[in-house]
Amino acid sequence: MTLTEKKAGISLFIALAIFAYLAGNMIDGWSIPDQEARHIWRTWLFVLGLGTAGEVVVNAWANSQREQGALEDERDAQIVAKADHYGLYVGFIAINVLIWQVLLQSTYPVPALWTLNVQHLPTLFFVLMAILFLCHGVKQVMVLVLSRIS
Amino acid sequence: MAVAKGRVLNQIRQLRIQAGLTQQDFANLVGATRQTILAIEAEKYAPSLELAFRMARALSVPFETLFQFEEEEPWPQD
Repeated sequence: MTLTEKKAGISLFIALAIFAYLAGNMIDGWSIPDQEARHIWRTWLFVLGLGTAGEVVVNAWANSQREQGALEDERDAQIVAKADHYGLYVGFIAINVLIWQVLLQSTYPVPALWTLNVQHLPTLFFVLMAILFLCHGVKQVMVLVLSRIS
Repeated sequence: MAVAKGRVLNQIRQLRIQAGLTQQDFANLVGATRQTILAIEAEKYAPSLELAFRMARALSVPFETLFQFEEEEPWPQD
C-alpha cells in the first residue's frame, strides 16, 4: 500500500466519523427537525474545526512517513488528479440536483414528499454539508480504487 | 491525415530480472514506488519521459531497448 492510499484511507475514515457527528447533530430519526440558529452555527464551526484538525493530523503523519522514506511518485500525483476530477464531477451533479430541487419548489410552493424541503434552513444546511462530504469521500474512494486498477 | 493510435511496450521486467533486481530494488533506484513499477511492467501505466530515462540508465540499456512503440493498423479509409 502506498502512502497516497494510506492517506486516502485515513482521510476517508476521519470524514466518515465527522459526518456521523454532523448527522447525529442534525437528524432525528428520518427527518431534520427545526433547530435554533445557534445550534446550526455551533455544528458548522465544530465540523469545520474537526475537519481542519483531521487534515492537519493526516498531513503531519504523512510528513513523518516521508521523512522515514515513504515515497509519493508521478503515478500517485496522476491518481490524485484523476480522483479530484471525479470528486468535482460528483459535486457538480449534486449541486445541480439541489438547484433542480430549488427550481421545483419555486414552481410548486408546497414541496412534494419525494423532494428535499430546501425552504427549511436546517435541511438546506445539512444537504450542503453532505455534498461537501460526498465530494471528499468520492475523491478518497477513487484514490483507493484507481491505485488498485491503474 | 489521421495518425494511427499506438501503445508503448516495454522490456523492463525481463531486463530487471536479468540485472538481478527485485521490483522494490528497482523502484528505489529510480525513485518510484513498487506499485508504479508493477503498473509499468504490466503496461497499465506509461511513465513520464524523465522516469523512463531514469529506468534506462538504471538498467544501463539504451532507451529504445527498454521501450518500443507499436503502432496499431489504421482503419481502412474509403
